[in-house]
Amino acid sequence: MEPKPVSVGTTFTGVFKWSGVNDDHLVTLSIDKEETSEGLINFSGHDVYVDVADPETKCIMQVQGEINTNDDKISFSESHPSNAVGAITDGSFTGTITADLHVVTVTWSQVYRSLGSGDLRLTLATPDTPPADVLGEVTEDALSAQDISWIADTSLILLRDIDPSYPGRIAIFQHRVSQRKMETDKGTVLWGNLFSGSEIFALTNLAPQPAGPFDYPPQYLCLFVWKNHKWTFRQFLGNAYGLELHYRKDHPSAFLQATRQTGRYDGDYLSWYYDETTGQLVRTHFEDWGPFYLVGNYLCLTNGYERTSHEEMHSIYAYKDGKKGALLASVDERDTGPFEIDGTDQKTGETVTWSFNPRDDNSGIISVRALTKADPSGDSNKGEIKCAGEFDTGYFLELLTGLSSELLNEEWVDELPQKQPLQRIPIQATGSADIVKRFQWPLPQSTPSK
Amino acid sequence: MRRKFFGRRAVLVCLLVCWSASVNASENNAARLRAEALATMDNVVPHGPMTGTLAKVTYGNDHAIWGEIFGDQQIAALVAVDDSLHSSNDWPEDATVFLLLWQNGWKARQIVGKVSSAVSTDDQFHIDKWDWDIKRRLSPETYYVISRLELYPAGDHLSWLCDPKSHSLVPTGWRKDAIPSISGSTITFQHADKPGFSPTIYDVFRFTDHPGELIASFDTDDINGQPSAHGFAVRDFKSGKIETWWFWMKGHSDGQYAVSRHGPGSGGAYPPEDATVYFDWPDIGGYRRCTDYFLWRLAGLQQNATWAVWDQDEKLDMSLPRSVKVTGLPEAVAKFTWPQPGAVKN
Repeated sequence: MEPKPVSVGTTFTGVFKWSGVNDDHLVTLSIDKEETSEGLINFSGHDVYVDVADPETKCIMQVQGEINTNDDKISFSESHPSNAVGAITDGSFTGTITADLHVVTVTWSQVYRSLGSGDLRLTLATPDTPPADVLGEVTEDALSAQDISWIADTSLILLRDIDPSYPGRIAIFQHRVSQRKMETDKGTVLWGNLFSGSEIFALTNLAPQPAGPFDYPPQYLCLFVWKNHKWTFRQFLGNAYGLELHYRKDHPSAFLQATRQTGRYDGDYLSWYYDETTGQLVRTHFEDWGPFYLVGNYLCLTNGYERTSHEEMHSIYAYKDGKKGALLASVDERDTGPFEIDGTDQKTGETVTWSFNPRDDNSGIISVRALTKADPSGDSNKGEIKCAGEFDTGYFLELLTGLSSELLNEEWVDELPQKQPLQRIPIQATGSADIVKRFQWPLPQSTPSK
Repeated sequence: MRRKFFGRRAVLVCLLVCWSASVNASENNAARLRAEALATMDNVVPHGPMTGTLAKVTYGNDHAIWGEIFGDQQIAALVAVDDSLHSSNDWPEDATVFLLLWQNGWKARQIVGKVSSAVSTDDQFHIDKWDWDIKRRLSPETYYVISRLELYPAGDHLSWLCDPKSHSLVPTGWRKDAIPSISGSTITFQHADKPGFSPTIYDVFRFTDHPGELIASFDTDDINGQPSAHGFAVRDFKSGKIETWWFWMKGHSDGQYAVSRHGPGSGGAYPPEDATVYFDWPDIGGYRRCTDYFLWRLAGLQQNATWAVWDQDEKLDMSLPRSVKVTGLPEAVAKFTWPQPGAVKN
């Protein structure tokens, strides 16, 4: 019998307790994606930790896990913490889930056991469960039709002095980048043939005055179209500002990106693509934390809002025809030197986390470990490398996953340049045979047999 | 002779052709820029008064500010046209500013001059940050165009008055090595002796419709709290004479300052200390509040003037100490003690 799916949008809430330490955290786990096959539910999503002692301190992490409904086992891991201070991701939760998939009881165990363990108990959130915004998550704008009508009317004031037919004819601009922008103390307008060559659009962004230094009032975004010599309201897009337009040669060809800050360190990113059949902007939901950029057939995600940024993260997904595909690799660089590359081993097809830790003694030697599901500590496949030339994480991304380092450049690019063979840098490698084989360059000269 | 004559005539003809070509190129360029200025304001059709607000328009690398910039009902636009030929590889350079007037359509009125079109730092330009702006004096309501609002980039800090009588822009004639700011009846010129981490110097003058006598000149050495004495030349607002004072922080908090009339001290040493000033602040921290206090007591300056803030910009609330005690030089005791003996504390 196929199990009852844990559907997208399912939310669990509960408390995480460190063993022997009075440091409880409220946890909300949300399922954003799931796939069910033969009793196994593979899911991904995100969880939010709120420190009970200091509710201002919270952390959002990506979650990847599996439920086996045959034996009611569940396991999941976390990555990409929004607040790196105190966040530990080198480990996983394992435990049980009830047959009705309503209650999760799991224990946290980690690579470095000296850091302790903890217990998490989650129950399925019901309509009576406090809304997510209690935990500081950003909720969609819930406005009445009357509110939206008022916003549309107010936004029209921003368009009062914009007439695309002046000075004589409707200006269909030669190229979309010739969009125009007008800013006043009431808000901002972006106009031109922003999304299609045949229509003139305007994006209006109201800008209410903040009440204080940490007040972030909503800046409502609307889409208007120039029709019959006047601006006509087409779509309400909610609280979104900091607009960026990007164009591609394939379809969808036009993307709108925006952000919205909701607290001193909180906010999110959102985006739309232009649907040429309906003439509407449609949410992509590509973001899971920070903004994204498209490079050829890859979708790359970066850091979002956080209190202190000590890590630079890139998650690389496959992309085709407007669809976000599988996660191919992720790169996590800490400003203190260590970095990790998660990806699929080109030879074995196994998911591997390559962990690089430069030594503190300025010797230039980097400890390397390959962490796998079977060997989460990487004890069986470790070693040390010393690079003779300059290197960056992009070099190791290319070396280990075959993905181009250009994917880390955070720039929209229609097509990746034709792949060039990797210019190997001299590296001295010691340790396991696999480490030496992967990193050593040039390869040791084989002794001619007599 | 004949050959030589022909030679001279040939040179003359060449010169005429070159001059003519140069004039044509220059005129063509001006015409191109003017057309571009007008194109920047395409689609903008003012409907009625703007009620004191100015709007900014961006079109490619060109920037415009429009509204009632003369303080009357004449709607005008200042358009800074990027002089480079819009190659995406080019950094934006100085831009040429055109004044357009709205007279049932945009009409080019004046080529104003050059402004810096983008903020530059050591290694890059930020085209999203305009390096020129229209600043507003509140009373009498007057608008000024200021170029280069950042202190360190090379180049002149040019400024113009938006003249309501002629509906044109008139160069102010103010010094070009400093950023001007008008607050109430003072104008402050903010400058640095050399690029990089040199102290910022503020010269404050009385201002009616042009800079008058110097009220104060001081530096703020805010770099890592380096142990140096700040030199203040101030016009005593009672005697009208210029006096010099030297101040430096004692310790690492702004609770205690040393005062000297015998600065600046030689070889990096402090000058002889004439008095000690003890501040009782109502809260912790407060960037530059002691400087503000000394300038207020010495020259009667409000801090908007000393922070180089325009009337129109954010209002700063002066941070006042609960009390100030002074020991040492009687003149310092008389000037800096707060509340002053006999004064009723409000």
